[in-house]
Amino acid sequence: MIGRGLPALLVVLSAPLALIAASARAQEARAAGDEVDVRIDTVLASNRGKMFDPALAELRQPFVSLFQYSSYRLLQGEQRRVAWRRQAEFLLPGGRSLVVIPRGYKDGRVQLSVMLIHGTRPLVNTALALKNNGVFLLAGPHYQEGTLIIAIGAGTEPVQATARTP
Amino acid sequence: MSCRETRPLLPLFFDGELEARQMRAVALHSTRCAACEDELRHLERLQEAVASHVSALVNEIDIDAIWAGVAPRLGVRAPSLGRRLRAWWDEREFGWLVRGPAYGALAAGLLLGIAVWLQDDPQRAPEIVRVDNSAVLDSVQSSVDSVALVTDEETNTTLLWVLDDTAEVDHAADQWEGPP
Repeated sequence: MIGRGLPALLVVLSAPLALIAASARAQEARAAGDEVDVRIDTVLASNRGKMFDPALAELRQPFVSLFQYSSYRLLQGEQRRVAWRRQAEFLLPGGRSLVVIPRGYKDGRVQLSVMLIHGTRPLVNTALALKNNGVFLLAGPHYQEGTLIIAIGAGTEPVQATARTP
Repeated sequence: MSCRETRPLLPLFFDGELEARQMRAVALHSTRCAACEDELRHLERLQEAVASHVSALVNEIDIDAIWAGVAPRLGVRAPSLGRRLRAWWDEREFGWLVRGPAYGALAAGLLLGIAVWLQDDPQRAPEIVRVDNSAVLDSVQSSVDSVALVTDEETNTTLLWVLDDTAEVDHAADQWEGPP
């Protein structure tokens, strides 16, 4: 009796849970709206001088933790509303560009495809799920006397106005 | 990229499973081609239709009825801690000699708790906003010599370091703090 009843019981119990989870995801997708805010901040990190751009205050902790440069200067910051599954191309210094395609919203994360391109050559192509209103860093390209650090932010709610304006 | 080439890639584009050039090409093509744009919207509508159908099904489920059928099969449940304490208390013949001071102590404890709560000034204890930049990387494709992935534990910020020539490797090695 128990041997036959238990699987049926588990099915009866798990089906509503699965449906509830699916419903929650549908509601989440609707809540994400038609567009997502994508913000790209391009920072020149170098060892010439010693300064931390006040406009980068929000990024101080990860920068200090991840890098050892003495100077961090915001070169450009750009924020756009991008429709889901549409590509947005951001021009970067040194003939590079960053292509961002927001693919969807799931479990409180914005799913992005991010491509760093030098000329016509894709240097890196990554698919990631970023915490809503979080920041992802891409670094390495040389520029002038330093290195470019690209902070990629994405959020389904308009990002609060910050001091991050060059 | 033609429609014939694009069509089979649309579901993969929808799921973000294409490589960089194809992702760009499909995104670009779909902005210019009404038919492929319609196909993408069709995929989107299909997903929404499934989601909305599922939502409707969930709303129709009478959880109470299911539970009424399930509960008898679960057998006898152990009484809760509160019930067991109550039963233990009722079994004893303490009388008001013991109950009086006990209720008094309980009341005093409640008053003390309320007093502490009222003294707590929310302005003096600002809410700590914790930054969470956590990212889950599904895939990384690269045409460069070296790629490094590091995470700052404090803010969960993920760094993808791309070195596109050998000269940069030495330079970056000097500057990179290294994995925590």
